[in-house]
Order: sequence, then C-alpha cells, then structure tokens
Amino acid sequence: MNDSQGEPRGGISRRGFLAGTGAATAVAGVTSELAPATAAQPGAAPAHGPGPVLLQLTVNGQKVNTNVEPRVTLLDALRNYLDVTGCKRVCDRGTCGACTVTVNGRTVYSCTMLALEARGMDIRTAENLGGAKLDAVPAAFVDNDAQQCGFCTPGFVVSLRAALDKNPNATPEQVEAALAGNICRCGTYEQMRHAIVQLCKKGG
Amino acid sequence: MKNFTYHQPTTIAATLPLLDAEWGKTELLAGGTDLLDRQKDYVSQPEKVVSLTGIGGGFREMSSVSPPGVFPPIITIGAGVRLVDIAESKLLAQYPALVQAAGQIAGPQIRNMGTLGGSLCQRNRCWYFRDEHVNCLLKGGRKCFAQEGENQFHAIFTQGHPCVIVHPSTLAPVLIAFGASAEIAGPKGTRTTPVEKLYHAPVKETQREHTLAPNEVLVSVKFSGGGPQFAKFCNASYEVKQKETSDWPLVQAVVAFHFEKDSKIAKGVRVVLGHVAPTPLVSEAAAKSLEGKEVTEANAGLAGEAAVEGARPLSQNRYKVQLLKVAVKRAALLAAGVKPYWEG
Amino acid sequence: MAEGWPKKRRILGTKVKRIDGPAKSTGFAKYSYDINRKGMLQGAVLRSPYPHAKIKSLDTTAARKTPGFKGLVIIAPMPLWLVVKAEGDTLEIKSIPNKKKKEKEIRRTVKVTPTVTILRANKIVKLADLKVDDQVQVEVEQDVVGRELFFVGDEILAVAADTEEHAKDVLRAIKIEYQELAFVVSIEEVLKNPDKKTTPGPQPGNITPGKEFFKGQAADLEAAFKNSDATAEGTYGVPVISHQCLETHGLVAEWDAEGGLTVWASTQATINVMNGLAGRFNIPPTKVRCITHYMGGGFGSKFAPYPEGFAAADLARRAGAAVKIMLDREEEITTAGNRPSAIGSVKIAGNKDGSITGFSIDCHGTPGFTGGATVNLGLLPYIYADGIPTFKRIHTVAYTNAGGARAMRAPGHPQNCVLTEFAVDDLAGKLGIDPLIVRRKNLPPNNPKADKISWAGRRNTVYNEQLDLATKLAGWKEKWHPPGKGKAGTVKHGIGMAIHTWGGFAAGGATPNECHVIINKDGSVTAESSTQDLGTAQRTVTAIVTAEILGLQVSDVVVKIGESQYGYSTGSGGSTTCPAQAPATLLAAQNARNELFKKVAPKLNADPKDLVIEPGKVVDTKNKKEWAWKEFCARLGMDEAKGKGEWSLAISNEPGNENISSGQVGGVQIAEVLVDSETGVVRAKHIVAVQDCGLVVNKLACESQVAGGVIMGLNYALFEENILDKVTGRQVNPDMEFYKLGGLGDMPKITVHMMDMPERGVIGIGEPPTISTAAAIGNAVFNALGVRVPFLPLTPKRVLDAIAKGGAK
Repeated sequence: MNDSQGEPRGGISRRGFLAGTGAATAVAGVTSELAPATAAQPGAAPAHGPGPVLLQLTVNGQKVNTNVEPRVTLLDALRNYLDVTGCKRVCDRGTCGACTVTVNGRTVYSCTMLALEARGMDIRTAENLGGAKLDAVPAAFVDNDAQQCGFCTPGFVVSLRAALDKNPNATPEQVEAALAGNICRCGTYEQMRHAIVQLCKKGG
Repeated sequence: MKNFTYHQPTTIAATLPLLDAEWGKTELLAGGTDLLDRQKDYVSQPEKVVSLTGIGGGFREMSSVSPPGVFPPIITIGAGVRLVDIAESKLLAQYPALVQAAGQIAGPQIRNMGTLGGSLCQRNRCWYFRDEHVNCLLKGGRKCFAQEGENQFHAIFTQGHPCVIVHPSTLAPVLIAFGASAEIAGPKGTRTTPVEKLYHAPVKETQREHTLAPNEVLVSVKFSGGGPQFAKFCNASYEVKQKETSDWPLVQAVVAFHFEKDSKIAKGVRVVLGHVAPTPLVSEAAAKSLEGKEVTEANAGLAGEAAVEGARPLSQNRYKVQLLKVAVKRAALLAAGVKPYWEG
Repeated sequence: MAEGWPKKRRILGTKVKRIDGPAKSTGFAKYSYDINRKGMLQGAVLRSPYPHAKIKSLDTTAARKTPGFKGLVIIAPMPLWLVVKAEGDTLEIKSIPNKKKKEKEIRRTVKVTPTVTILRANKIVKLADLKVDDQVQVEVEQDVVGRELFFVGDEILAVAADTEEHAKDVLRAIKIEYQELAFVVSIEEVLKNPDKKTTPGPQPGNITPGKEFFKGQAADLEAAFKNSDATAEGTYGVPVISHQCLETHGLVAEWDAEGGLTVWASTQATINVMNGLAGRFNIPPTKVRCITHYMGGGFGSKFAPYPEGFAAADLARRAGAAVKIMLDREEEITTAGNRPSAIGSVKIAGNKDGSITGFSIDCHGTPGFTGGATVNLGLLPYIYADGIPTFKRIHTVAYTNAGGARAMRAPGHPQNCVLTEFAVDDLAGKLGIDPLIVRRKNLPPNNPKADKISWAGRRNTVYNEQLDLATKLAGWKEKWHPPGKGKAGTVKHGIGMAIHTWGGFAAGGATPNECHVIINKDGSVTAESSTQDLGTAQRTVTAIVTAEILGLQVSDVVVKIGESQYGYSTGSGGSTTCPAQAPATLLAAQNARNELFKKVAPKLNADPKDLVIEPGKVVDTKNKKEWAWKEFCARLGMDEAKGKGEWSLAISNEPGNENISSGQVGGVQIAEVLVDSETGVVRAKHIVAVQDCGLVVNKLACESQVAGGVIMGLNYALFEENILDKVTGRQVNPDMEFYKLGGLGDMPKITVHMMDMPERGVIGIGEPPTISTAAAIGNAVFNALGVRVPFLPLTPKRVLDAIAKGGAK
C-alpha cells in the first residue's frame, strides 16, 4: 500500500489546541482535574467545563493529551482531536458498531461514551491490531475477503478480537453472537463466517 | 449536542446535592447509551451532567444473602452493575428470565456500557419523541403524533393513555415479575419501593416514564424470587424480535411461578408484559388464567389469550396483539421447562 | 485487434487477497472522512425541517457571533457577473448572458452590507477593490428569503467553525422563519389527488402519467386472460429504501495559494467531482484534484460533489482554510438519494405446460421530489418480455415531498424482479405446478443470428444451465413442495427462486478509461488510474492484471488509484468499472512491456519479437537466453518504460475484442426460509446464487461481491424501508435503529457458484447478484405459507396480515 495521505499520525493533535480557547482554559481544566475531594464532602465532584477540559487518554498504550469540551464523545475525541482513524463514525447513535473500541478490555461504542468518561482507562482501537505485525483477526479478514468498502471492518475486527480474548475457546456460534452489535452494509458476513471458522480452528 | 458542565462524584451522598428539584437542566449519566442519543438529537439539553460512573461499592456490585430462615436467598443488584455482568452472572442461575433478558439487550457493546439503573430509568424510543422537530406531548406539545401516525411499534394497551409510547426496558418486567423492590436515595434519605411502582405513563414534559423525583438516584434493586421453601422457582422471558441481532423486541412477556415439591401445577403466577404499554404491564388476567394449572401448551395459550384482554391496538399495530398472545404462551412453556414447540 | 488475455492464466481467476486489506481492516487506511488537514474547519448544513415551505426570514447575526464561527455560505449556484459600477456601499452588476441560450442581460444593484459577499477569482474582495468589468460572484444572504424548499433536509446554507461542536452551535444560532406549505409524502395521496402540485419540475401536478406499452394487441391479451388454464392477480410492492452508505457523503476541501482546489471526496467518480467543482468555481479541471483513496460505500449515490461538497469547497475558498463536511446519518438517509418505490397491480395467465400466455401490469412508484428516471420499470415483465407472447405495462411516476432518488445498485431491476417473479410463482401456484417449470418454459430464447459466445446467442442455454446448477446446490427437487404444503408445524419451511439479468459492459461515453503502467530501472512497477475502489477490490484488480502480464507477483505492483490527475476514468456505476479498467490495465501493461522490450532488446543484442515474459524473468526464445526481471529492467539505464491502456464500450465492440470484455449476464438465486407462522418472523436459512460473469479476474473478491449482493437483497426483502410520517412529512426512521439492517446472526448460509466463461472477457459483477434475492425470498415465503405476502419488507406485521387474510395452516 503506497498511496497514503502523507498526513502525520501524531499523538497530540494540533487541532486539539486550536480548538481550545487559550491557555487560561487549559489551566482551569488542569486545576479541576486535580482538585481533591474536600473532607466535608467526601466524593464531591468539581465541575468540568463547559469550556475545553484537559483530556489525558491512554490510546493503544500511549498517553495522549488534548483539550475537549465535556460534550465531546470518545469517538470524536479520537477522530477529530487525536487523528485516530480505526474507529469510524457511521450511525453515531450506538447501533452500527463502526466506532467500536475496547475500554479496559471491553468493547464499547465510542460514539456513545463521553471522552471524559474514558480518562485513566486503557483504550484500544483497531490500529492496535495492525502496523508492524498483523493480528490474526484482521489477517483472517484479509485471507477470506471479509471486507469490501471496509468502513465497518475495523469495528468488526475489534469486536471479534475482544470476543476471542474473553474466550479463546469460543465456538463460531459464540463468536457470531459477539458480533451482534456490528453492521456491515456491503454484505461481507458470509466471508466473515469463513474468517471466524479459520480463527476458531486456530484457537484465537 | 448542547454543551454542559460535567461532574463525576464518587459517592451517592455527593451526587445528591448536584441534582435539581426539576427535570430538564440536570441529567444523570450511567452507561450513556440513552442519554447521549437524546443529547445528540437535542431532545435533552441538560446544562449539567452528573456521571454516576465514579461511584463504587454496592452501587456497582451484585450480592446474594441468605439470612437464616429465608428462602430463596435475597439478591441485590447495584444500579451501576453493567448489563453484561447480569447476563453472565453465575449468581443469577436460578433467574433465567433476568439473565435472558439482559443477554438479549442490543449487542455486546451496549451490554458492556449499559447498567441496570440505566435500563430501568431510560427514556422511551418513540420516534416522534426522539425527533427534535416534532413537538409531542412529552415535549410540551399538544398531541401524541403516534396516535394517528406511524405506530407499528407503539402501545396496544392504549386506553386512558394520551401518549402511546412503550416502555423500552426489558429488565423492568422481569424484576416486577420477581416482586423486586428498588432502593432510592434522595435528599430526605433512602426509600424503598416496589419496582412496579417505579413506573407510570407520562403525559407531559414535566414527567418521566418513571416515578423517581429529579433529585433522587436509584441505588439498587432487591428480590428473592418468591415461593415457599423447597419450591422450584420457574421463570422465563420471551421476546419477539424481527431481527436476531441487536433489535428492540416487538413484544416481551415474562412469566414466573413456582412448582411446589414434585408438583407440575403453577402457583404464585406472575405475568408481566413489555413493549405493549407506556409502562411495564402486570397482567392479572393472564396470571389468574394459569394459576393452579398445569403448564401445557393449551393452558399457556389460554394465558396468552387472557393477556390480550383489553388491548386496544392502534391503526398499524394490531399484529402485536397476536405477538403478545404467542409471547405469553411461549414464556410460560419456557418457564415450565417444556420443550419449545417452535424450534426445529 | 488487441492482444487479449493470456491463454494460460497464472494469477487471473485465482483467489487473490485484496492488497489494501491489512490497511483497511486495522483502521490505518484513511478515508475521506478520516482526513484532518492542518487548521481544518468543520462545516455543517442548515436544512429545511419541513417537507414543503418557503423561507420567510433569515437572521444570522447571532450565529456570526457564536464562538468558533468561521464562515457562512448560501447553498446555490453562483453565476458570474460583470461589475458595472462599484461606489460607496453600492455595487452595480450585469449578467453575462449565454447567447446560444438566447439569455437576456440582467442588471442588479446591490447595497453592500456585512451579509453580502463579493468574490473575484475565488477570493473574497472588498467593494473598493473592484474595477469595472471585473468578473465577480455576489452572494446576498437575504436572497434566500422566499426560496421554496421541497423536502425535509432541503439545503439552505452551510456554516464553518473551528470544531464540529461549534459548527452545530452556529447552525442552531441561526434565526430562520418558514411559511409552511401544503405537502404530500404518501404515494396513495398523490394518486388520489394527482393535480395537486407540491413538487418542482415540469409536470403540472405531482404526477407523470405513464404511457401504455403493448406487446401484441389488446385483443390478444384479453384472449390470453380468458382462454388460459389459469390466471393470477396480485398487487405487489417494494418501498422506498435508502443507500445507507456507511461512509456518508461529503468531502474535505482545501485551496492552495495558486487557486487550485484539492478535495478528498467520498465518491464513485473522481473525474465527475473534479469536473463538477471546476465548473462551479470557474477554474480549469486541471486545477482541481479529487482524491479518493478509500471509499466507504456508494451503491450509486455518489457521482457528484452534491450540495454539501460544493458548500465545503465554497466555505474553504472564503475562509482560506481546509473545510470538512461529512453528512450525519440522518442527512445521509434523508437527502443523499434513495431507491424509488414500485407498486404494481399484475395479472398473469398461463397454461398447465408452464407457458405464460399474457401479462399486464399497472405500476407506480415515487422517487421523492425528483429523480423519476431511475424508477426505470421499462423492462417489465422482467426477463420474460421476449418469451411472453403478449403483455401490457404502464408505469406512473408520483412525486412526493421527500429527498430525491439516485441510482441504486442495479437501478429498477430489483423492483422489476419482484413485480414479475412474484406473479410467476403465484401463477404456478394457481396452475398447481412447480414454478421451476414456468421459468424454464418462458426463458428468453437464444438468438440464432447472434454470435454464439454473446449473451443473446446463448442466454437460454446459460439460464437453463444455471437453473440446473442452482436447483442441485439448493436441493430443490427434495425440498420444494406445493405452496403451504410443507411439513406440519408452527415453523413453516419454504423454498423459492428468482432469476435476473444485467449489463456489466465496459463504460461507454466518448472518452475511454485510462490506465498507465510504468516499469522502472530497478524493476519496480507502478500502475496508475484515476478510477476508484468502492470496496470492489478494484485496486487489487489493477495489481493482478499488471502482475499477470509482467510475470510479477501481485505484491510487486505499486498501485496508485483514486486521484483525478491519473488520467480519465468513468464513474463506478452500472458494473462498468472492472470491464473498463481491467482491459485498460491489460493494454497498459502490454504496452509497457513492449516499450521495455524495445528499449532493452538492442542492449542485449536481442530482437524484441523474440522476447517473452515468464514468471520473474524475460526469455529470449530464439537465443535461449533469459534474464531475471530486475536484471532485465536494470538495462533501462536512466530510462523507464511506460505504457498507456485505454478501454471503453466502443473499443470492446470492435471486432476481435469480444474476448477482452463484454456484457449481459444472467443469474439464478434460490432461497430457503423458515417462517414462524405464529409470529410472522422470517429467517432465511440458505441462499444459493449461481452467477455468470465472463472472465473471473479475482475469484475471492468476485465471490465476496456476489455474497454481498445477496445480503443486500436479503435486507431489501426483510428489513429495509424509509417510513415517512404523513402528518409531519418527516421520516421517522432516519437512523440505523428503526431503519433495520441485518447483522451476522440474521444471515443465512450463502452458497455462491461462479460460472467462469473466459471466452466472454471481463464483465462487471457489482450489481447483478443483488437483483433477484428479494424476489426469491418473497417466493420462498409464499412457498412456506401458501399465501402471498405482497409487500416488502416481509415484516412480522405484513406476514401475519397475509396469514390472517389467507389462512395458512
């Protein structure tokens, strides 16, 4: 593959800082992050926002920072502020699964989680399964041509990887059930079944 | 989505002062799978979002306690427990209705995010309610658009209901069938109420589908499943869905009863219906029909017939009356452990 | 006459993994939606919330003061004017009339306020900068007042802001008032009141009445209905559905300092987008670069920049920054195209031997507010038009206040197929015979005058062969039972079939598709084309063909596609891309090879005529010498060898080229279903698809395409429908929650059988396999229940209603 965009894949987004309203806001965000609960009100929570808040996330093992308003979803923080492309925005309403990432090992719809709620958690996207070494799950998708336009595929791949991580001895039926929250429009399900059989034979 | 300030308290006590006495400006966030949708559609525009995800302890746990002389054990599920953990719980082995219902909610991602409290307190999925540009009853408008409009997924028990939503929770009917109670924290302390009493049919903007006050938080749910000692507690939930994957049920029926020692006679029958009325609906008629009877296909069928008594379907959902009959019949048979006649 | 495909195929027709598979499946591949440019702004579109309205007033003051605001454009073409006078705060301009169109000159005087924008050479200018006779575009914001809007989602203006969140805030700060106008969203209402006019277009009301088309005489048809062994009547229907491209429509636009425009567009036609934008902004096409490296689905709906694309480019030129507009899901479903509905009242007659003696259909459908042409039902009675002695058809287009139609995967065919094939099975039911007999009996005949390898010359033979294969793979003989007479039980088993046809020729038009192959001195090879890969594995096709000809491995070829500057290509529609691009690549690779031989042979004392390529090497057949590929290419010295290939429908029609690409295919599909007769829930268990597609380029991707077509067809059959509310005129399910699409667990086992016919050359395969699935499933449900469920999708409601009417037991 050689027609890449030539866009740098940075950890820290340029746009994240552009989006902020200046240093003062960022500092306020930091302050609120660190404010300890007072003795009088155990568990009390200071307000974050409505302006941009410093957001520190751990994405695919890397700590990254940006500033987002509280309303920004995890999906939008990853895509618009951190240049992560392994989660796609398709329905944006927690139905289609194209935005699937794992948070502390469990699959979630990143469109339906506030970015602030993911602080301190281990976020993994489809990119975590590629790069230098191709994970067995995307490899099985490639082997069996279980993708066409490919826009849903990273979401499926993340869901499937999580299912096998949860149960390495899962049967094809169990793996299929784990993909119930993902939708493909091109219709690659038959090929996906071939990929699942290949993976289940290998034992994850 | 309108922007807001975000709070993430770590105790219930710290949560309560953050809440308002009125609906609208403050929303509680648990799994987010309902609230964020509403915010993106501008149907809810809170200025403050109070997240419950920082709260630990009992709010996030399930427990089973068997005090001396009490049978079956008392199960407590924190409102913050994730749906996936209910669906996969070993503690709940005797409560297949709950496990099945939780396991059938949407797809794994939703179950990994959504919570028990969220399921019980979520807002309805009516497509008119969810469209910002339609000013329906529940948004301060003058009419319910579903009454005359596209109502194929709406209520069939409509009498006395100006708004014909269906309550979306599939866990509520199960918990009601189990006689569960809810623990609720509010400004004046903690109160306990039957889950059944958590619901009413909303008719205006200032009401929710549940009866919690705006400044209250659902903390946990408790049940023991009922039945005398050594009785076998039988329960099942049956949903008719158009799709196998990630779909709302068209109807849901929960049937629970017990068999006394070696008996095959259903006692203490409870039948609760979902997705057919603005609230989870207890069907006394269906329960009465099956009470004291053997759970045969014929008797289960009669219970199904009884369940639809009083149904007043809308222009496009008469088919749900038939679905409900079938769902009750099948739930009763599943609860009794009869081999499903509708499979293979 | 071209050299043609190699006799011995080394890679062609084998199972080749797509070369971009790893990048796509792990999220590294960047789609247009994924492009984030430095300093990029986010755009959003203000749309009509009403199905029909007039804009009463517009006030953007608050919006312009909203944090993050960066720009606002009215969505409308902006003609060029000539400056007559520019003084004080007043601008006087005159139009540039098109003399050919006999346009008259118009003059206009504009008071320049902050909501008036003047552009010269795509840059915002001040009134003071203008000279007489300057060519300018002038946007007067208040001009939108009075504009008529025809559907929910009709575009009004677009804004840009620093973040997506702010762009939405800006939109919501716009104060706009509407005058609501009468509207119609239901086709029944249009038919009841055809003179009511609520849509644009030349038709006097909301209807374009159909013209009756007859084969034979009216009397023949009457006689057929009277004298045949049986007749069947039914009204069948297919609703308006949505393309539901997962990557929504839209683009990222960025202007450079030299006035050039680069867009990253989600499109099926890089060249169309380039030309469309060039026209809109009055710059030469060479100044526009359209990049579509990866594309998340189009299905016929993505052939132009569209309003959102123009708006993004317009915002970008004014803001001097990149702007991204990608539609959200609701916008995608309500404004970015649909597949028109078709509802037909059919009467069909036939005899016990299976022959259909007569057929008549009165049909209507709606494309929304515009786009009638794509209803395309002129093929009725589908497949059988040549086999049936007499028929009548009439089709009426009813316009409604809903988003307009766009081509959708085999436009018109799935609807045709349902309207015809449902009737065929109903007739077979009336005749008490296996519908397979009716199909065989009425297939179009082979044309004895046509070339034996052409479709016309062999179609009857191919269909019969496909019916043999499909019935065997599906177990038709063992599984078929008379309708409603399967094994007793609550869950009813049914099996049904349908057949289809499609073109799949190389793209037509005056300009042929291009591909360029470059062989470098280090042996590396690049293949370039502006064509786009919609998910069809076109990128891999280009690599396969190049590698095949040059004796390389697929992974040796660097493929650069999806950029408009790589030469001409047509939009990917009509299954025309592979049959145009594969031959273009073939020729390019062969020409590059010839060029290589020509340049290197003298240095090796060889005659280019004697050189042949074998895997990994070049062989001198006369002197019995050979060189490894890299070694041979090294002799290019500082040179390179280039080849250009061109292909089109016209070239494919030249004598001797019929083996390189051709068209017109057939397919047979058989569906097996289980219907829960108590709940009306339909589950498909197995679908067999037998498909003819000429020369198979990549068996893996080809089978995947066919299975994908089947799955899309299954969704049409069971789940998909745009549901519009008659009171508000709004679609109630512009989402993926109640606009249902099947997941993995909803899918049957799918058996695909490709008929490889290399003698026919390459034929497109994207569309045909989606045509007959829904009809086959509908017929299987009929077979299960013994009653027809006449309207798609086959929801529990519709199935139970049909059972209640027909009493299946």
